[in-house]
Amino acid sequence: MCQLIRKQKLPGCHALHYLQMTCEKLGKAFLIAGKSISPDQAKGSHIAFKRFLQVASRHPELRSLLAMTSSQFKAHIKQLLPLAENIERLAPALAQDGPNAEYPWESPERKIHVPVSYDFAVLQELHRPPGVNLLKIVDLVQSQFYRLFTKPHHA
Amino acid sequence: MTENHNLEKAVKFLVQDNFGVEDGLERIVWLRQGAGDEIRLIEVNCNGFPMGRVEAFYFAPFEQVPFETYLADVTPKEWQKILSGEIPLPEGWSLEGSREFLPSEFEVAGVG
Repeated sequence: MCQLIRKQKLPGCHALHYLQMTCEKLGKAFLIAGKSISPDQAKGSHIAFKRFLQVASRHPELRSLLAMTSSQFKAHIKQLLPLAENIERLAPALAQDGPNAEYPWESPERKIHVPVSYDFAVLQELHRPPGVNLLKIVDLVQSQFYRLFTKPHHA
Repeated sequence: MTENHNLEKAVKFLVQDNFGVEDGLERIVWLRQGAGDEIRLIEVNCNGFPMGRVEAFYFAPFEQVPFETYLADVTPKEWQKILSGEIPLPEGWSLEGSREFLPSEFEVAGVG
């Protein structure tokens, strides 16, 4: 995911769409692994990622893998939550007729925008330190999800 | 060292750690009845996102906490509703015999 954002050759909406979907799936997987919701119930939810970040930050092993102390990680998460929310809001269901990474939308000035040519502010944010850290966490959680957040026999 | 002692040690490690990483935690409740060698925690978080239900998240065992852990993050309002029975606990969870930890009981600074 980091590579896709950093070395993007396609319009930014493609990388943002993949990132939004990845984050959404991670959040839902976290809920399903805890048996809080069934996979069917998860289909309708797009707001799991911010919550995932907040709760997963309490896993000491995750912080250890990132080589961060609790106070460092606490500071990081505070910076990352608003960005995580902006990524969640790229889902058309949450964008409320505003900028999203998938479908055209009409602005209040009645101008039609399309994702492929839109200048997403969140894309710039991902190149700044909080964004880079967020992508690092997403990559790490993707690779370590089974070990950290599922019962051992699933590994 | 007994299994219960190890479990309590692991719970205290996790509780102290979590108080250190989330400023909004006003209390952590350890639900013991029927949990066996599984750790079940309800963390009452002023910074939490209200969901209107108890969602438990699973942490796999690791070196310092070699027990399966379920952690539920709820807001103070949700906690009150759990106490009044308005919000049910996950199946098999019970408040009976639970133990409550407050941040003031722990020195949270310096947890790595």
